[in-house]
Amino acid sequence: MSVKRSLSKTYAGDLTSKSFISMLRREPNDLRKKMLLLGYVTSQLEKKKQSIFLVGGQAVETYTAGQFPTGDIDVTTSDSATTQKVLKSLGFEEIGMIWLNKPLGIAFHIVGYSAPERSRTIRIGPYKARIVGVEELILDRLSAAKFWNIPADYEKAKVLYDNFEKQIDKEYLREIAKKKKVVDLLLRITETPSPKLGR
Amino acid sequence: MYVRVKKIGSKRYAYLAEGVSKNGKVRQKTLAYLGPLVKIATGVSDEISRKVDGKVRNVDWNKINMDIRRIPLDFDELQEIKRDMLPRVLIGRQNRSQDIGRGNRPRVEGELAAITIIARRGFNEMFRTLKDGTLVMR
Repeated sequence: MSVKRSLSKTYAGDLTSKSFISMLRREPNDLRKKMLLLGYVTSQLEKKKQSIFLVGGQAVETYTAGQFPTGDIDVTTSDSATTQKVLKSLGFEEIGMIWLNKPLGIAFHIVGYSAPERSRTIRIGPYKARIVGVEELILDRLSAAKFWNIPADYEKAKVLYDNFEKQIDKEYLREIAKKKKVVDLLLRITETPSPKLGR
Repeated sequence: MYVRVKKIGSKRYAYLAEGVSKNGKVRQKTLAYLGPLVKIATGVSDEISRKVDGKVRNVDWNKINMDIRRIPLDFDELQEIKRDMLPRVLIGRQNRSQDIGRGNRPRVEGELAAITIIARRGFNEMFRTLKDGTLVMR
């Protein structure tokens, strides 16, 4: 039986938040745990025709399979109040701007209310989570590297570009990079080869 | 292009330089100031390399950083580096930073490429990508 099937079976049906959390605690893989949690929150919001998207550091961590670990799960949601209600039902407590679940060791941070222009769907067991597209994530990291002077974010953008180059909409990337005034850094990324990847 | 070290007073400073041939003689031309040797002993930070890139074209930073790391340091310089690094290491440990002790030290040659490869392999092991771009977590 594949992992995917067993996940679908484990989390099948309309689980209460309590039974979902008790099952989630047994999940040994941290990234899968976070994705299942996000998937559950997404399912609860979509029932009310609302949406939630994974953005920021956790999106980078997901696309790089944990090579750039982050602290909290940054999300944008169309309905902050309902999102907070769902998090509360899952045992999260509000601490400043963060929603923390101590036993799970997971924190959510609602960073905005607008949906990304381009997003992708992650299927995890019976759930679907939405994640910001790689293009927007690269541009976001380049802006942070340039205007917030965070050199590590340039590295993240570079790794994302190299690993998703074939899937990236380069025209869109250039166009938005111009608007965000990060074309110089984008050029640096595209022109710096990654020799070990055979580019 | 190479690294030139000048001693001014008791301290040593690093410069980016190149040999220029004039009337059959080769002279050293200083292209850019890199900083005190103790500050760049493990390599030039991104901030400095970006500034230099604005003035000097086609700098091979991997080569320059390797050259810098080969410069022998004296005891006083090692002591100064230790004094300089300690607070950063302590702060890093207090914050449980993922870059403990790394400070502004640039990555060594090949490190980012290795991360890229590991990230790609990890992602492919963790996710299956469908034709419509949907990611299926395994």
